[in-house]
Amino acid sequence: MIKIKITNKIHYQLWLVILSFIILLGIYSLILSLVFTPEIFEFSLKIIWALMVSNYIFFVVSGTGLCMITSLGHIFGIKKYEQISKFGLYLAILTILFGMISIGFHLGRPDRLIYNILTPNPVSAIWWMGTLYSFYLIFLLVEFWCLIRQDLLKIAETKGGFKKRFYEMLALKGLWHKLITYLPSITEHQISKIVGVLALITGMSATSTLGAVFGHTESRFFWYGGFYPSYMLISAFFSGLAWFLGTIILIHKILNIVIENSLKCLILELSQILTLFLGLNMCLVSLKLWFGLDNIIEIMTIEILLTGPFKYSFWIFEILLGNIIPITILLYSIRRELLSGIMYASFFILLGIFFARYNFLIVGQIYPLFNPLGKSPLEIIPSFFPTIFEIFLILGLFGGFLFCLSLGLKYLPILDKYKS
Amino acid sequence: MIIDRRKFLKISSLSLINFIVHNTNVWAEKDRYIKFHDVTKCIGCKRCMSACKRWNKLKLDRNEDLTDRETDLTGNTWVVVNLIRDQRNVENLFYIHWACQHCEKPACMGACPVSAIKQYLTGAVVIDENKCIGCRYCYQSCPYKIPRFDFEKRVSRKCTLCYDRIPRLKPACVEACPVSALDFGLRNEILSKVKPLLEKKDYYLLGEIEAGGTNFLTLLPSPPQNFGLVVAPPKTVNESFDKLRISSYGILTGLSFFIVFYLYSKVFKHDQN
Repeated sequence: MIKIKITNKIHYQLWLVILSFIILLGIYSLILSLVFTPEIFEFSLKIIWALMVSNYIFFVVSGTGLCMITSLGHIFGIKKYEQISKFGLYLAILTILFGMISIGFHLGRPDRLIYNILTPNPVSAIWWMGTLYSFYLIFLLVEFWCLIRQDLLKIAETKGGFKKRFYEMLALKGLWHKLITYLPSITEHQISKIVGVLALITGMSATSTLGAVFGHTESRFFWYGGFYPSYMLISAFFSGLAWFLGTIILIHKILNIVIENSLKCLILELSQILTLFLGLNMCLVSLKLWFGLDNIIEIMTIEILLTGPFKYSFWIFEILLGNIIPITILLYSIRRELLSGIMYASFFILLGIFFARYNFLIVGQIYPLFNPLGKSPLEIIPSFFPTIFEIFLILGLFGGFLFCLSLGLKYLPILDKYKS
Repeated sequence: MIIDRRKFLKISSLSLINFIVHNTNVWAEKDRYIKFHDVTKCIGCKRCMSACKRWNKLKLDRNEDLTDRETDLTGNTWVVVNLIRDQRNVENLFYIHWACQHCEKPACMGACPVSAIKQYLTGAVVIDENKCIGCRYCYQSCPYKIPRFDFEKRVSRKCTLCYDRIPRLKPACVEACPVSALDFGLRNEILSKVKPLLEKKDYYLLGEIEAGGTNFLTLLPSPPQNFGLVVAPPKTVNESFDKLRISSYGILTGLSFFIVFYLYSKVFKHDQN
């Protein structure tokens, strides 16, 4: 294994310092909410699921997509996908982790989550979602650890002193040898495969249940029904693809690593799949809006999305930047094998998905409202623009995500082949 | 009648599912108490709002005043009285007392992930504030959008139908009403008093069939839509296998992904490029 070398240490440290400042911005806003009131994160009392929830959906759904892509390698046994398993899993862990942190900020009393175990409610979709995502995170961590354990030991051999002990501790060197005596004839790879299957099943079920959380709310006409449990899984796959393609190309570019031919072929193949899924996404969004035309309240909701105050957010960010421009760039880049184009398209898609989650969540809550004075629908729409503290917290979360990704790239063996 | 093994299993499994899905309190019909509001009698004094605040030790909201300005429910205001115009007959104005409807099959109870919402045998649907995690899914699932988030306590709160007073005492708001626009008693008794009124005049009884029947009935002089009130469907999602049906779409999509991945892996298993 070739170890990664950050050739320009100052740039790397400067990057971490910038990220730390962004994280501090999030911490500042969090402290304010704890000292004063969490109301600083609420732009309206009538839209009670706001940016934190849409950010949670954005992160966790993408995480499931990443898990689905990596499963093609070491679970379904396709050789060319094995090279991306560790990186994909690390990204999947980070996305689910930051998604959970995001929902933790939304909850009024996250300290009482113990009641999820003590007094469960199996008919509640949120209970299933929370439970499945918790198991999913545990399975992902075990799967990832099994995959990188040998690499951790190899790194430990090359180090000395504290670093050696740190890597040995990460690899559970002594403990694992004792444990393995009780589990004869089972290798780490086999364990990772079993746990990987469990992670895939729980992850996909959790994401589908996330869709069901919205699908079960009968009084929210825009969400109600079987569309979102299916759509969440489909969008998970292409958002996971966008995360993977965007970050892997960017990292290779920043670190000046040559992308090997096998990885390049895989990137091009995944880009084709991504283009296909983007087309499918546009069809599904159109279908959802078409189906909504049979209900007067849903028609009003769709009007607000298409021609009302959400029109820029929908047409420019969700459709143009999130779908049409990326499809065009992808088609052009795949033909000419331009990896930069694929990277830009992936980031456009991620931006589009972020807005799509926000639109879906906020527009879905606008109706029905208690409207005793008989005002026109557009008059009673509550404010829906995020507060400055909400934006700070989101920036902090993204900063934290990038910080962990940067640390992982330097200290963990998450890319299979490195060239300095 | 001879019941074979297949029939026995069918009946017993359906009964079991019915027991799990349905609320067991439906059999306590004779013990169910309801709150009743006659809109035509209400004078809009808002003593019910004050009494509710006093009994439940609720704080004053910001800019709170007892005027005819439109008031909304909050984590500290569990009952509101608003002056509402009949949109079809604009000369008619009525004071409407609005609070939790205490559904017979509460959607919020089925939505709460930590079972913090309980339904008492008297019919009161109550949030356990010491257990609530503040996810606000109860608000999303409620057909009337009643439970509100209290930013100070960081939990959802709503009217408790004064479960800690009944049946010994009437709810605080009912006792405070000076003109008997609010009433409280056993559901069957109140319904027998109200039914003749419905037959005589073209009145509407909100809560008789909505959300499976609620424990707060409102007698309106015209349909609730005319007052801009939310009308819940007769059946809520908790009542049927709807949740299972909706979730099954996701399960089918997940299975499709597995099948596609499997077939893809069979074709490209050893493909390196």
